Amino acid sequence: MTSQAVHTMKVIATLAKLQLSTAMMYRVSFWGAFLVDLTVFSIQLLFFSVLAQNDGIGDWSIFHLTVFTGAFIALDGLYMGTYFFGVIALPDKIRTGSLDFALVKPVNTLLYTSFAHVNPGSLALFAAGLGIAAFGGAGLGVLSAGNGLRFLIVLFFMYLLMYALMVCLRTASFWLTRVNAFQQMENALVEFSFRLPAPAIQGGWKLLLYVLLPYGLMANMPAHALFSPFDLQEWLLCIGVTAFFLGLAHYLWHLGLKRYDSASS
Amino acid sequence: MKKYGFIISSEWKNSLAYRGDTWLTAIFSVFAVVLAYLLWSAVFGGADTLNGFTLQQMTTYYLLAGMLAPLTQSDGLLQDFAVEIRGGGYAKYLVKPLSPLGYFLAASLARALLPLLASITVLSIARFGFADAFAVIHLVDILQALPLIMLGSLFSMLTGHIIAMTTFTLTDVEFIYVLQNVIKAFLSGAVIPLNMVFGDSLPLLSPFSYLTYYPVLLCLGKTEIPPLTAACVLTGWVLAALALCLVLQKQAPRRFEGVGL
Repeated sequence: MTSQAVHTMKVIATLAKLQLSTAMMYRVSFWGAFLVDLTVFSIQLLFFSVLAQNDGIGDWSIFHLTVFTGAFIALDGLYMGTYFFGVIALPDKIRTGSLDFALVKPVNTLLYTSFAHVNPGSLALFAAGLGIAAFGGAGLGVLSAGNGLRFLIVLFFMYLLMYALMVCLRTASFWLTRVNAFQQMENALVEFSFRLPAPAIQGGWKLLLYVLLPYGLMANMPAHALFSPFDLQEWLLCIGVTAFFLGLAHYLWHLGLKRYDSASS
Repeated sequence: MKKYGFIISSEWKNSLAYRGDTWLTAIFSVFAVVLAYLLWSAVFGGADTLNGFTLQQMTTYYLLAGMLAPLTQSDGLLQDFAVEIRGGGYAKYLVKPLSPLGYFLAASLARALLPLLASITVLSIARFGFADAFAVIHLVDILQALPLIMLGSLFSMLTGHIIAMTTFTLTDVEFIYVLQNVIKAFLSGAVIPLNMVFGDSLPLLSPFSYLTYYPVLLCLGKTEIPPLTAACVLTGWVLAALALCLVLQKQAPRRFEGVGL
């Protein structure tokens, strides 16, 4: 990590502390995102429990599906709590020229803008997700320190992958005025992340949802890391896809910056 | 009524300004049907039926639910209205011979029209492109469902207005707006057919059952409840919501601390 990135992270940590103090003044809003996501995922768990009553999905039982849902809840809490609101604000900043305020600061612009709007309320969801995944893992009898650590490592890769995918889509704002449709596409694709467990992804869909639009990896990979022997092929898939999309996000961001018309130009 | 006709026309023109965005959104709604097909194919395994549905009927269920979504899910108008209340823009309704509720309903209708047309077109193309994946739908069943769909849409608009009016009490209604869409999607059967969740104890008096689940079952020719009974229940809820909206609208000028007032 470069010294500029370290400096940026220190600035972001200070901003996060200030935002936490401000957010606590508006407690209803503070817990808003947490409540919404908790409701979405409670409904999803209920949905899977209904499916599990009908012999589950493929060879997955309700406990597999609980780990799968818990993994996505943890991932969602982590990215909603850290970079989500910063990244979704990027198109507006690019369109209105307010990205200038970040560009003139002696920090890494992308990191700064991405992490400048933390939402600490969502981090509670991360803890809830870990608890739900652990409950499912206990039900399957696979809970151990090794499996838990592997789950967390893979979850971190998915956290980076989601960041890269979100940034890639938002860089379209450098070329287009309105990118709502891309956000709609993203919303639709994220549904594949937490509604489509691995047994439902077969044949050519694997290439599409694991490699080309890797939303199918998000919850399936951490879930696999917890309850199945996670082989070299799966590690390579996680690391390779994450590295590729991080590289692509970095490239598109810098390409876009060259095209950026600031507010004053 | 002429002024509300003008509002509809003006909002329609406004939505046409972003028609590319609307069409792309409709195209992406196909993803939800693909997701449903993949998931339910795995759930069905080799089974012919599940809870009274064949795989084709289940996929068609999600296709029709996707078509109805623009009518049952609140769009950005609720947020715009909330911003006007918070920012002082609500004053424009108080100084004009215009009912805020009338404006809200007219604008909601106009804003739902283009997404509805786009979604019906795109999903119909998907339906005919992959005919084997879907069940056959008869025109007579669709015509039977239409009055209920319109009543359900009116109920959704009225509840949207009630939520927007809570801005007078709560400063930030953003999360309530999202939360109600999530809960409404579940209770209306857009997430999963209600009979699979509630079994025999289907909530027949809940208005939400008639927003997606019941009209879709009518289109599939599968419902056992007479349409007239469903219409009576929904009409009762529409009248109750309308009464609440009118009460809130009457109180609004007293509760409004507008800019410059």
